[in-house]
Amino acid sequence: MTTLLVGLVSVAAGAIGAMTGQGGGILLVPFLTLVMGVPVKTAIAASTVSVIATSSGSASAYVRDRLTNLKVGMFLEVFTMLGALAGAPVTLSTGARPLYLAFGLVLLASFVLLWLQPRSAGQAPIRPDRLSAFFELEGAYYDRASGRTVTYTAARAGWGSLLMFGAGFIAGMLGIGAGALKVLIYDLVMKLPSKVSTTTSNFIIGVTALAGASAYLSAGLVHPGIAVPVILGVTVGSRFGTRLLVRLSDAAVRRFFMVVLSVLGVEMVLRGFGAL
Amino acid sequence: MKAQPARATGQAHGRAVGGWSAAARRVDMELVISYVLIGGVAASLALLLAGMGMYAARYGRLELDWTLPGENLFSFVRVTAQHLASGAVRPEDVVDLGIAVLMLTPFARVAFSVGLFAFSQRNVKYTLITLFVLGVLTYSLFLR
Repeated sequence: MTTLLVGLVSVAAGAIGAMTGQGGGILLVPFLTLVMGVPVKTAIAASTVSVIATSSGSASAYVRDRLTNLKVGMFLEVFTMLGALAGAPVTLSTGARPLYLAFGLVLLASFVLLWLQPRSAGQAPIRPDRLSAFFELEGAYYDRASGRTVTYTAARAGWGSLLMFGAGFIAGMLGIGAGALKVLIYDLVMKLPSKVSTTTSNFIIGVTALAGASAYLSAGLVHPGIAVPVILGVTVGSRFGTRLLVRLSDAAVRRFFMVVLSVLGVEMVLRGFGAL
Repeated sequence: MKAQPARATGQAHGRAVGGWSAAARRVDMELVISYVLIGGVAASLALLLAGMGMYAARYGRLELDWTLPGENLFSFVRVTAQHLASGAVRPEDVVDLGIAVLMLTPFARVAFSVGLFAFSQRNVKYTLITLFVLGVLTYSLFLR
């Protein structure tokens, strides 16, 4: 019974996550803890492992279509990996309440970001900084919509890598892909085209999640009874969500997701303060 | 710019070695990485489903109620492989193997990237960067 319920909850988290481009993790942990009563650290561990499946599955297609910038990805995953390795032990050594609080704040921050909806500044000609030039953070991809090849260079690689460490830390600590945060760094700080930033962010989520997952596995927090239905459920859900996305309007999806984020965020914060 | 001399020596070296090296340079890096990722995920999902099916058939329920001992990924893989090699295939081991294969997928992606940057792209800088990622991941997967 539990297996099926956890699986269904994961399908829902994966579907909503994929529809909004956030990945399944951000809803999965709140669903598992608030709805299913799974201990928060077990939920985080299961979510981390499932993130590997969803990100690697879609990354495969993006890499094949040459949208992902492998060099940018491999360069920045150095920092997200180190961040995740620093973040996971924080979760292992802290109590449940600070984790609820941190998770609630990340949910509410996502709500605010979605509300403000920062726009990518566009592809104004950018002067690559010395670090970007040295690490060859540049590329080109074929844009199917306009039928031409778009060339680009990254900017502010120093800030980008520092912020990526932070994104990795949050990802490792809370068992989420933190894809939205990574995309934001690519778009706003490093000025990469949005197609490249979403696909490259997705590409490095797998390694980041593995760094976190290694700590949770060693700590004995990966329980097959939770992790396996979560992996299968989120994978099915995110496939389903991607298809559904085509049919639903953008605004409706966004409004629905914002309601979900705010409700879960407030609940997680309240639980963090011991009020629930 | 700095990679230029390295690439030049690489090409000279390639001519000296001949066919194997020339073939390595023609490898499509994106395609290989794409296959590693989808192959790992597909194998893992297949093992998880098969293991759950076997589990349900043997015990008549779907609650996966065993726990994993807190051990690092490499010893987890070793112990699971030993169980499977000992003959009697327990559903629990098939599921465990599925989890292990999933976790090994990004690791394999990084390992393949090192080889591809070194032999196909001949990019010294990125060979070192991916080697660093591989080293840190290997270390963290051996911890405890």
